Amino acid sequence: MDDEAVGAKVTRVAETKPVKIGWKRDLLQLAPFLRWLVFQRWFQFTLIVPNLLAFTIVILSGIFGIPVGAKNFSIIFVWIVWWALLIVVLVPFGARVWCAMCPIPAFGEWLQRKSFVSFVSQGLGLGKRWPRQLRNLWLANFGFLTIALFSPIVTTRPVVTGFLLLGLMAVAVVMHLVFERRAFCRYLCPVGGFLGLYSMAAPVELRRIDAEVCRQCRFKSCYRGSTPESLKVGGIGGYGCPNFEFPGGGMERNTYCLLCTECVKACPYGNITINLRPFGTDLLVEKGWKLDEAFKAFIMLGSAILYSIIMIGPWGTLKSWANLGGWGFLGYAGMFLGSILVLAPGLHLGMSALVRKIAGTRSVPLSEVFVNTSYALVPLGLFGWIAFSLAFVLPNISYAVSVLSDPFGWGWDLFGTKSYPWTPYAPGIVPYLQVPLLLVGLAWSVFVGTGILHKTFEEAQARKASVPLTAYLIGGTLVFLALYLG
Amino acid sequence: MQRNRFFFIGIAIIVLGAAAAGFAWVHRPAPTEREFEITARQFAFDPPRITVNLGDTVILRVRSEDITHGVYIDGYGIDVKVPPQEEAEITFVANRPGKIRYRCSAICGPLHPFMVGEIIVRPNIPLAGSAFLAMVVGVVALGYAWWRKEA
Ligand SMILES: [Cu+2]
Repeated sequence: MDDEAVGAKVTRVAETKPVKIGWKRDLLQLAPFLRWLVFQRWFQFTLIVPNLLAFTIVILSGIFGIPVGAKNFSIIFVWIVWWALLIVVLVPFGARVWCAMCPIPAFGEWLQRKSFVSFVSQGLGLGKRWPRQLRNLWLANFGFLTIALFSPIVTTRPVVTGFLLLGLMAVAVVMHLVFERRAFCRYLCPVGGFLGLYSMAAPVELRRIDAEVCRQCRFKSCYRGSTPESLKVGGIGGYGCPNFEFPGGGMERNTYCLLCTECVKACPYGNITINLRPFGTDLLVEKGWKLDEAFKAFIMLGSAILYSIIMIGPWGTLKSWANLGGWGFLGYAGMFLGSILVLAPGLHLGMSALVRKIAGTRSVPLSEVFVNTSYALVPLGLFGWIAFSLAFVLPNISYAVSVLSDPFGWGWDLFGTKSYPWTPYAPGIVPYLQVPLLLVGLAWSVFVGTGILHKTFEEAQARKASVPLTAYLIGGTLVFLALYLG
Repeated sequence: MQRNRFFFIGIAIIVLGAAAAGFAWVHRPAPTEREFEITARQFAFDPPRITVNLGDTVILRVRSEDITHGVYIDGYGIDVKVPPQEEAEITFVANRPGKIRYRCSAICGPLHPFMVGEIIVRPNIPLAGSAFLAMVVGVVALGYAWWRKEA
């Protein structure tokens, strides 16, 4: 090769150089106990059982308990305790680990597998394939939006919460018996969509270890499940990925990984593990950038802002409209859906057009800029949700203490804590917790945004384009600050 | 060269901002006594938001139009119940700038946890400060991202 050719090659490599991802550590090597746990067939079952128990109490107390939310186990434990755990701890630090322990699909999956714990190759159900046109997040987005629209009702009426969860469980059972794998979790679950989006920010990931081993593997057990042949080579017996992922085929994002660890058990070569890694790595994985996920980002950021106005803002008229207040509800619904489905994407489109104009190139289509840059909203959206959640979790979580003793509001006093008074925690300092959270979200979004632009445009263009994108992200942060402090 | 210019603009903005804040602080209005009539009903306080100045003695006359509500003022340790058709009087000195949230403290129906009122204590230093900080953080993050790409 002559020098010129080598030079050209070097330049190309420099251009396509992947964004520096930093360090990774094999968590299962660091923590042998965790490794041992993950290799037990009963691992997931044990995670599910306590949640299923709590879930049963939620449904029973929701349907049969006192209709006052603050005195009912269902409202307090779902919308305050579970929600706080999910958005403050599980998602930001554990990706979709909630999905591994979620009781909603449990019955469906046990029926489908005809097994609680052990690996059985012959299951139950029709095992139909999920329709190709629906293999995306649109149904889940639609389901989330519907629940989100009615959330002032859902989160305050025990009976609605009870029937909603019971209904989701029933739908999950039907889905498991008609379709293959966990089609419910992948394509329908209203929670799964946003867990997937925000799990990309988490510092853990389930991935293959050595790509070459997977390339040579003829079993592909992580996708197909263990077979007698694969078990002769290795593995303890595991189902193929319930969520239609193919870890051995180069799964690069957390978005659809439920962390159920079936693939870890199925792999004949022990080639799948769980890594610790820097926060937010997946947000820069280009091949996942899609419009359905982009809309999930608008839905989440938009609903965090809208709830901050409607639920924790002081405006009574809006609240009574949202509370199914006659025709006013239509006004509220119009505002809610309009902001999320028209206003937010419209603003984002305007910003994308500006980014493209300032970058000074026509070679990248506007639609691509629109989709790619939407992933920059993920950190800000996640931290916006955490900040919003603090504003209703801290003042109200003390109800959990009394509700624990009297879950149905029937006057029981199981643990002697029934008369624990309502105690708002950290009153008056909530805004000072929200500000640093939002600033961290902003800084992180700016980093992710510039990373995305460098993958979308050439160096000089990306640099120019990052100015309007940063201004846009600062603008979003100012909206939150105005709502919480102004 | 470009970096120096950014640095200079940044310093200029900080100096101007500090000067404006200092001017506003020096010319802030003298504290007085301010009285407000507030109606409580499911699930809001009316008017939803009132504005006072730092140091003002605030008197809230809260009247309930339907059932028993309460007024719990975040960070001021005040919690007063307001029975139906009665009036409760709350007096306190607004001694911290920014937004004070007060919330209903008597379970009054489904949306009770979201029954909130707001008192804005001017000058709203926390809002101005955090907005300023957001701009600084955004610009610094961008600068850092650029610098890292170069390094
Ligand atoms: Cu009330």
